[in-house]
Amino acid sequence: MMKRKILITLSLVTASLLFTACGEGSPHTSSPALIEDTPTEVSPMENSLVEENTTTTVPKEEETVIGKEPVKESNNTQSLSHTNPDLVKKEPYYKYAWHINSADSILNDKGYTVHKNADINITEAWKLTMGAGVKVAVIDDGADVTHEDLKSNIYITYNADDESTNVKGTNEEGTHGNSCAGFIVAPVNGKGTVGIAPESKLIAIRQEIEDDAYVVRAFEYAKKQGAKVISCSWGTENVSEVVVAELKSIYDAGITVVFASGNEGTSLDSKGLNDESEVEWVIGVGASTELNDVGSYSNYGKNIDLIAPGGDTQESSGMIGLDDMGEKGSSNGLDLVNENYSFMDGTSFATPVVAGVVALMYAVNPEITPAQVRKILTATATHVGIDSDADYETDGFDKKRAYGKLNAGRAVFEAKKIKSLAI
Amino acid sequence: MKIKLLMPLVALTMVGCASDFYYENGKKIELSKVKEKRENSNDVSYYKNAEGRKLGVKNEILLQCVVAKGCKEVLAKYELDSVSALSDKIFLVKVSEDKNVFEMSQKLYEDEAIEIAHPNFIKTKKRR
Repeated sequence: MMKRKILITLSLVTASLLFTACGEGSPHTSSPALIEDTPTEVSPMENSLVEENTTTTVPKEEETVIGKEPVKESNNTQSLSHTNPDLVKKEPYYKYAWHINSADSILNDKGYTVHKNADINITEAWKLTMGAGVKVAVIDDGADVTHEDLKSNIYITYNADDESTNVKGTNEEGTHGNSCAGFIVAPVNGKGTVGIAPESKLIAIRQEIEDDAYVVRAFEYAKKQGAKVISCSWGTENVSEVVVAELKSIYDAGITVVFASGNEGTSLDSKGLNDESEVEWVIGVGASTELNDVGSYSNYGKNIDLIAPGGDTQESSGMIGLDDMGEKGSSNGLDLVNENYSFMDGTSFATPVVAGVVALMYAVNPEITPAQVRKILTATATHVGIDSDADYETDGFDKKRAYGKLNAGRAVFEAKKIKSLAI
Repeated sequence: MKIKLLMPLVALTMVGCASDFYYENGKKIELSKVKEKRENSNDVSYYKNAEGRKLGVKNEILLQCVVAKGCKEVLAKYELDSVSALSDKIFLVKVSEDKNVFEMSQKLYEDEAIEIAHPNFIKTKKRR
């Protein structure tokens, strides 16, 4: 009996000593806290930084610089002269683009339900700008640089995995990044559909290897190339501290990063989930549908900022965009569009819709800060789902719909009105 | 009977000595090894965290110094195979195969001049 007691005591003492020796908790006296952000108050009455100008010009076909250093831009890239927004209506598949103008959508005639207010009020924003002078980076699995509705708006391409300029996808499922990019920059060119910021330019970054170092490299390249917005339709649910530090650095550089919340219909506040879309330095985006409410598949949580059209192919048509199958052609054309286009759904596609609107905000106010962008987006969002179970009583925030659905017209108007207090 | 009594001692000793942990956001994160190797990449070992999430680890560490300027000088005192700057602030360092990447990242993290240091993780990315 005595021996047993001695052995137990010895075991406990040994374990205790070893546990202490091997480290318990952080050796740092305080956690490596990130620098606190000071949100800037939005002042709607501040003078506008831009002059009213609705001059209509023929869109200029700019040189695509795939595989080369981009041509230096002139200092006049912030001109507000832009395409007549009415020309958008001549895009062949505009009639299916309910996220742009649900009232003009003919999908109801085709047997798909579209709510009359399901769009994002983009036509009001386009009266001010269509995104000229702003570069948007899409970090994803590649892009089809020859796509008829993408190629003229590609500024540069970069493969963060091998540091080449080749962004062609190798995945048999095609390039998800192609669709994401199209929702932002697809030009007004009489072909297919149109992006939210059709005069902005694309920095197409392929980053597929699941390695934190490559993720950092991708963001750094976007920054180096002058991106003002970075759209990311992916996530790990387990973001690393170094990646968060990089996102903070990007935020401090005045660049707005937008991340998709995911499609599991679950709360990101669940234990163990620590997603990119929840990071303080990014805009987290959920999805709304053709029915003008949050998608049942859209992940949500206290750190998600707003929802935007992502569609729902289970209940309706989905969002019309560039096909995600590369040279294989579309997988879901619904017999309505040719093989270069597809109907799709997911927070992946809600994210570039928000990124496109952020690009428009930078176009009308190049000095706007990411903090101001977030504040405006959330303050101007439309409260949807009121007839359902939405409850915006607490700080205007609904559990599943965050601050509401993206309202492009209001957001871009507010961005134009404020005078930035940033450096 | 003696063997039975000794077993908890051995088990506790093993747990206590486990070096498969790192620090993130000021917390100690323990991992347990998973028997899996990535195809064509034998230098990657896989682990699971307390939530059951899988993480790939190779002999690389990502870090950020408290003060970006002079970080290379801070790192010069460590035995590292290579140091490369991924940004103004973030560095990727490689450690030799015979060294334990967790132990090295712990050592780096314990340096007051280093703010963040954890293995360069391979994590499953989902398109959405």
